[in-house]
Amino acid sequence: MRIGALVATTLLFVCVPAAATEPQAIPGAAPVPPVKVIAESPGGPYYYRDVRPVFGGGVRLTSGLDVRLGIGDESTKVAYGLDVLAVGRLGFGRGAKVLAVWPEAGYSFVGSDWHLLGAGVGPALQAREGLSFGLVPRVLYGVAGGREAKGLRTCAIIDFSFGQGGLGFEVAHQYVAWGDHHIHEIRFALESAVVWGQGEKP
Amino acid sequence: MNHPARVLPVIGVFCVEFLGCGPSSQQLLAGNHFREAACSITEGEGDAQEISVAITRALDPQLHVDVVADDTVMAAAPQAPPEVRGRVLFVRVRVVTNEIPVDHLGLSLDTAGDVPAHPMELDALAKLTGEQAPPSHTSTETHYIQNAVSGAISIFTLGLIDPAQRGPTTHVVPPLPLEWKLTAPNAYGLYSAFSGSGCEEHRGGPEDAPHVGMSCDATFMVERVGSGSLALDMGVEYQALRLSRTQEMRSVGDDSSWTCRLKTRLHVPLGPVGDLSKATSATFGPRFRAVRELDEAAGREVTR
Repeated sequence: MRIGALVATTLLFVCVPAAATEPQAIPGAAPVPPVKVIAESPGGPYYYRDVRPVFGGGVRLTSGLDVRLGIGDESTKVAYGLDVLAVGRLGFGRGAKVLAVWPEAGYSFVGSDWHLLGAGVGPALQAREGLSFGLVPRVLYGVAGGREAKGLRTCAIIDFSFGQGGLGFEVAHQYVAWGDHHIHEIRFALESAVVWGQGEKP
Repeated sequence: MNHPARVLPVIGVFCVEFLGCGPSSQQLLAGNHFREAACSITEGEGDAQEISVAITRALDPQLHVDVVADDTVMAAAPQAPPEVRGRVLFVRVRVVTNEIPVDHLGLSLDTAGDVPAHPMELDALAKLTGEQAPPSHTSTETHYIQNAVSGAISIFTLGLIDPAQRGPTTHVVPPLPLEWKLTAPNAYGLYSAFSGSGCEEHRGGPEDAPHVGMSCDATFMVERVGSGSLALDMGVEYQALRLSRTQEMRSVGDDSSWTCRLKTRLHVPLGPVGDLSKATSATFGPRFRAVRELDEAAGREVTR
């Protein structure tokens, strides 16, 4: 009891002066007006907030195997193939996946003595991030077997794009003719691309 | 032969999906599509001036300013020394806005003009009351685990990858409220008498298309020197999140490139410091006034 009384007395002395000097909050001088809600019309557009597609140019490398089909005068065999290409990635509209045009031009090496220049353009379904698909035909001109060669390659490209870069796989049919030779090949290649331009960031 | 009603949708789809034509600023503003409008400016296509004016008109900030009388200050903080009286004006500012269809709002209040004024903070109040501010603390953080991991990486890669070792980091920790209360009771008393400063966002509507408003409170200490004028500078920022049809909504803090920001400033002259109390009473009295209304009353062009 004595201890309780001592504590109570102490608290009284400590708390009462403190309470007397506690600052009082100054009241607000004006009532807060009602807040209006400005509503958006339903069915609003969704365009500028959507991501921009990549629209630019860069470099693409492919490296793989050309399987000769044995059509015409060549027996079936496999050759190494390498491409170094300047590419465009021209996406149009807005969205995570858009229609695009993919122009490509560059140098192609096959086997041991094919040196071909090629250029072409094709449609694509282009993603800023994720899988892109393109179908790009290229006309070829160069040297094969030491003689003038002409041809056509049609490339189906599956590219996992991540803004500026991309990695993927290419399957292509290639027809090359020189002299009396007519060669059909299927190329299986790994590819990588780097692109600079608008749309690397959203 | 082709009927226009058949051709136009085809042209529209071609335009939007392939060429990339967006809606005009007028179309966006007519439907209060402020998120789209803000992003159209970021994309360099929208009319920034027109959009900024329209969104600010919808936001319609309501303002109240009052000068707290010396007697009220002294009554609220009776421990404050009498010398405080008459040295500064305590100018309270409160802003309330409508809720508009944006994803986030930012609002900042500051003073402008040719008189010394600054936000009411404990440091400034301690100077005013002649009290000593409590010292700040420092805390030191050592990065043992991070350095151990860095060392392990360096060893396992034979030094090929050698992350830098981090030395101890020192942080400055401001004094606690209780320390202010003990060390500078008069300053603390004055500070506590005014309701807290800061802004609060109020939002409603669906989570992916909210409408957002804001209310802000601030108190400024304006020195009673000279015959300069005081004005209020209000910074407003409208934010819209970029979404994608196939991607989840990303937060503002995630990546700033996923946020469209539109900034504007509102300037409200409050009058000469000598007559500030009378001027704010006459202008505001016991009610909030729309900033737009103040502009119109003063004959200022609303061009923000």
